[in-house]
Amino acid sequence: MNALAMIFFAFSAYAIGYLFYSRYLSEKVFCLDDSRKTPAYEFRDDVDYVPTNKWILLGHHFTSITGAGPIVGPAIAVIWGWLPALLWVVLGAVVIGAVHDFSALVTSIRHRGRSVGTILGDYAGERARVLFLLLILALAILVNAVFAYVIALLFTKFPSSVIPAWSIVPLAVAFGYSVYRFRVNFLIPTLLFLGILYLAVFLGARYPVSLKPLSGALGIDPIMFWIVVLFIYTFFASSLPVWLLLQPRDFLNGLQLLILLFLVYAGAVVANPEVKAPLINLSPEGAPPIVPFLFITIACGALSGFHALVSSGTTSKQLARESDARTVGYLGFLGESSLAVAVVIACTAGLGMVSAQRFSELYSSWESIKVSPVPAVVEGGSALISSLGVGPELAETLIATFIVLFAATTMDTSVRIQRYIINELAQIYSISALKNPWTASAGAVLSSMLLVLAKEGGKGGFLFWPIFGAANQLLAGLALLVAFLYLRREGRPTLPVLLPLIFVLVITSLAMVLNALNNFLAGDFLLAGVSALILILEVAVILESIRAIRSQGERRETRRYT
Amino acid sequence: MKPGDILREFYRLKIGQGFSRSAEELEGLFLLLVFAEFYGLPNPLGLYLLEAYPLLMEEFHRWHLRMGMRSSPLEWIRCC
Repeated sequence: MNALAMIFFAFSAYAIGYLFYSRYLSEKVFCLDDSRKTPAYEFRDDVDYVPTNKWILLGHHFTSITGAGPIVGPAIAVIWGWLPALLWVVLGAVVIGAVHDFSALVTSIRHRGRSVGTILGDYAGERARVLFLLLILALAILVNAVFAYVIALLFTKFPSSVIPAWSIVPLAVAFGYSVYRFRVNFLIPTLLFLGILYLAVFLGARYPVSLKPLSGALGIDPIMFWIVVLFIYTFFASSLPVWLLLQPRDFLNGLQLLILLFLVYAGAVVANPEVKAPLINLSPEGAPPIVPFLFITIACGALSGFHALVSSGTTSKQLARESDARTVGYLGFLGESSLAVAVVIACTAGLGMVSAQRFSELYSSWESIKVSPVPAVVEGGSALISSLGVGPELAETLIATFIVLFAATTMDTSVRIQRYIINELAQIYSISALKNPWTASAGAVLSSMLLVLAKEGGKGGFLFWPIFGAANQLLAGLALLVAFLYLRREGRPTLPVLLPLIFVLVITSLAMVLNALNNFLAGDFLLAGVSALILILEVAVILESIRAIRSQGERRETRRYT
Repeated sequence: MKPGDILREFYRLKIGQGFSRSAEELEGLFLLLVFAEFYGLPNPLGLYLLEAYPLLMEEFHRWHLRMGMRSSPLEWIRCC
């Protein structure tokens, strides 16, 4: 097997899914109708509600849903062999993940562009909405714990990424401000700022910033140091207005993502390396069973509940025609999935270019993967890019920087989300101390920081990854539930969303029971406790789903007989 | 579409919204001050602002939409 064959398989499946399945969903299930006014026209205000060209909206949606998530999951999951990871990423995306994103988007436009959480409140009651908020809060805490560790690890393993990764902060502020203030042509400043960023990558590769001497003198672990620095940075960054730092960062990141995908796929096509990894390995040393853990290790890239927030939060307010949802929602997710496929290729075929044994060295056991997945992507990915004529050190710095940028932006966003939710919960339960944005931010940052530092001195960030995956899919389950309730009310076919919903609930329950049990037996009470918490939320989701479905059924019955 | 235009739209979606929203918040505060008496608050400047109302009509329309009112809440301002 070689990289080209993997690419051919993935893109053929995407094409079939997009051409046939998404057409079936649009025409027969959701009955998209271009004569209906979308919220973008109905509530047009030229700020939030603006009818937008579908291809540009696709670019925006795709770059908003895609972060570092689809990079970490597949990089761990290839330990079970490349075939299961590839199959789940591609087929999961076509029949589950893309369906979830698409249905969240359509449900939102049919409900005046409102968010999935609010619609859920309407269909299933206030308790379901609080549950939705709690799940997002758990997700945000876990994502911060994992990504802080990912970034700290990359800074320590690839010190050349330190300069370019931090240089984005002043660059983003200057970019956003100058373009807004001076209304200059967009092409020139964008190229100029991207040029400066790549200059920083070049400088970083020449002048790596290693903390080893400092940590030797002061006795501080560099990973621990970076984690603390990152949380301090995130605390302040997430308190700034969004347009000052986060959104310009996001703009530049979006372009980086397109460049990264282009580079990795071009490298894979040019080099077409052989895959030097096992096809399938059902019992890697120390690893949990492939079923259900493969399905929650890879969440982003195959199914991610976080996307429903983007689909129903911003994208649904910009959609010009209902039929555009097929391109934006469905194809947008396939875009994210293609990043996960690129990671599978980098970690199997790309690592094979480094040396024939590199895969088995890095993936020798579940224990070793705890520290290796993201560096494996950097190694494999830079081997692929090097085939385009980029120097290996530069390629390595480039990929490490890309990943740090995505992960840091996600951290900023998720601390903001945590703050809003803490504020909202504080309003609901009248806790005045947490209504203040600063205390809410501090609560958000501290909870994630304690979680990651409590685990083997900050070295166990990845241990939370499967729990994050489970929480993310549970959230997806709630969005699928909303779509199901909507379709049922309209009397349309519900199986395309019901089957993924059942699959998600079964897989995540099984995984969390096993995870809680295994960790409890191993004496790891922190991990067991966090898994148990997710399990409780899970049971609540299942109960709420049953209640909502039954009460909707009763309402229908009453309507029929009155 | 030229690359510059695509980037402009991309910029509007990613950053422009944030800028506009924060400008709107200021504008909203200003309009609240101008139209204070409709909330039952005494507005000492009301008389002097009468001639500014036609100029503020368009902003007022966007504002009441933002405030969740689908048509003008004021009988004598028929902006929509």
